[in-house]
Amino acid sequence: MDGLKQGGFYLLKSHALCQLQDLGRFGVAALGLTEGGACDQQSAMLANLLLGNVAGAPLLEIGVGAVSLRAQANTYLALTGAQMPFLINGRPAPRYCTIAVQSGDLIEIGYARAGLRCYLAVAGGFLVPTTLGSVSTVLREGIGGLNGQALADGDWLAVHPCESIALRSLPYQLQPKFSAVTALDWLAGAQYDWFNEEAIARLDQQLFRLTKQSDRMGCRLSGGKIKVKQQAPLYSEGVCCGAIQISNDGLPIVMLNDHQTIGGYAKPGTVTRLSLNALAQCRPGSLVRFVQRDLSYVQAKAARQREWLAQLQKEWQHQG
Amino acid sequence: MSHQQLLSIRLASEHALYLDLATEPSPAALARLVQLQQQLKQHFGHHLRDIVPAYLSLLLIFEPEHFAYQPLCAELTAFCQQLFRKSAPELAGKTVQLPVYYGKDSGPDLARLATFHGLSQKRIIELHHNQAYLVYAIGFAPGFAYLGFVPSKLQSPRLATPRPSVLKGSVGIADRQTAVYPASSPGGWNIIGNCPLPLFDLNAAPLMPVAVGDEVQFVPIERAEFIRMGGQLWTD
Repeated sequence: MDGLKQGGFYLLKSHALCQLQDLGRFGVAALGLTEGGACDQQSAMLANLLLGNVAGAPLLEIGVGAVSLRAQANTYLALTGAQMPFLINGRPAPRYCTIAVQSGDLIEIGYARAGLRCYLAVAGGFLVPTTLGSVSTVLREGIGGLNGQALADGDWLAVHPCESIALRSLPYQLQPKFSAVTALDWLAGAQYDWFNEEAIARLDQQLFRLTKQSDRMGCRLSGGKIKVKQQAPLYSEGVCCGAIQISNDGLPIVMLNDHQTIGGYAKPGTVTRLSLNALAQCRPGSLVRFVQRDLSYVQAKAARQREWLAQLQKEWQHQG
Repeated sequence: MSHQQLLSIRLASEHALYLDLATEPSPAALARLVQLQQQLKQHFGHHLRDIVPAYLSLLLIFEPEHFAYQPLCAELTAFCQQLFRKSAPELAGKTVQLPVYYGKDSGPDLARLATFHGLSQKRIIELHHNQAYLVYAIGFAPGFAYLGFVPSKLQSPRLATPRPSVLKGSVGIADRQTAVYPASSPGGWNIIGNCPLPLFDLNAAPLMPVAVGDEVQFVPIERAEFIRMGGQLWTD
């Protein structure tokens, strides 16, 4: 074991969907830089809070699974999000739980059984330099992470030295669940009036299937086509995370974290942040349905979620 | 004049909205857009997460806990009314000169475009750099500036099938617009030349030489000069 670094983790097995993320890169959209960040923001925040970290500390987003690491530090980990087999030295370890690891431990994450993206956080967060205020990896832009790339076999991830911390866990009934059909709350907005009643009804009443072309930029859906009323061409305008873009072929694309910053397609509205967290856990082939909500409903739900997270953070701090 | 008022406010998400300032892009509307972008940034400070200007509108993305739609609409309407009462702003952006080598080894679509428009290649090149352009939007990729508008004789439809890879620095035309690809990427614009200067550089300050509202003047350069400046050719 000569020549091995101490104070971090070696990635033994990695791939393009294993990326350093935080909650995103903001303030530079006017330069064409997307926000990036964890696609399932709630799972990412929970992983960090379980370790007493700030909610946006740098962590790993692991799509699909199949990643292994070797600890070269005595520290703590937490795994949240998709249901993936989680082994420490070959023994199953619980998700949504603070886990102590010792230098030399082997950490293995298997293929997702349910959900798509898991989040692996470490006490204090991974020590990575930020680019424009964030460590978020955006492959298309070659920005963030380690040198703008996804993590690769043999990469070294340094961590903060860590004192002992309280072991915390999130009870099973409070952990996010996965359903056969994911309901997506959405708000009317943008070019809503470019769609007639029939088109909106089609959006709200049918099931859509996630296609294989979905990625961190957007979830492409297949289903009955949505017609846009004849309109003057749309001059490109800013695009939000969650925007439902109706392409020329009449099919919706829901913008995820690596979305382009401007676009010229008609958008009936936007999927809420909370529903995007659920969408980020849908695999190709999954079914989703759109449920139109009003702004007060959506904002109240978001506020309750923020309060719940703040409450958890407070409780866990007292334990620490 | 239509650009002298706030036309509408549209909801964009649970914490974002659009401000519409005009129905057709113009230098005057662009000047308002840039002025409003700068003033709203100051006005809202850290409550504003991001602001994206493009052609006719501003997208304002707020921190979620600081987004109350109705009060914000009232505040923005009042803010615009007061601002727009003052005389129309001049475009205060800078003029940026970008060298371009126009040739068949830097512009694979130059010959086809000449045939398409019934013009000589020399004339296509002249028409492209004989005027300055305004930056109406930045997007698609970091540093990709949409410049408007090319003379009607140069307006060209996008390629039916986009190229899987367009060389970094490529200068293209799509419909009424022209742009420089800041990095190699897939693309469907008609490529007529190449600019050897970096359009987006993480290690530079500022990160890109142009901003929305700036003016771009293309300056033709010879092949030898282009190579000397580190330009890359399609045949390399």
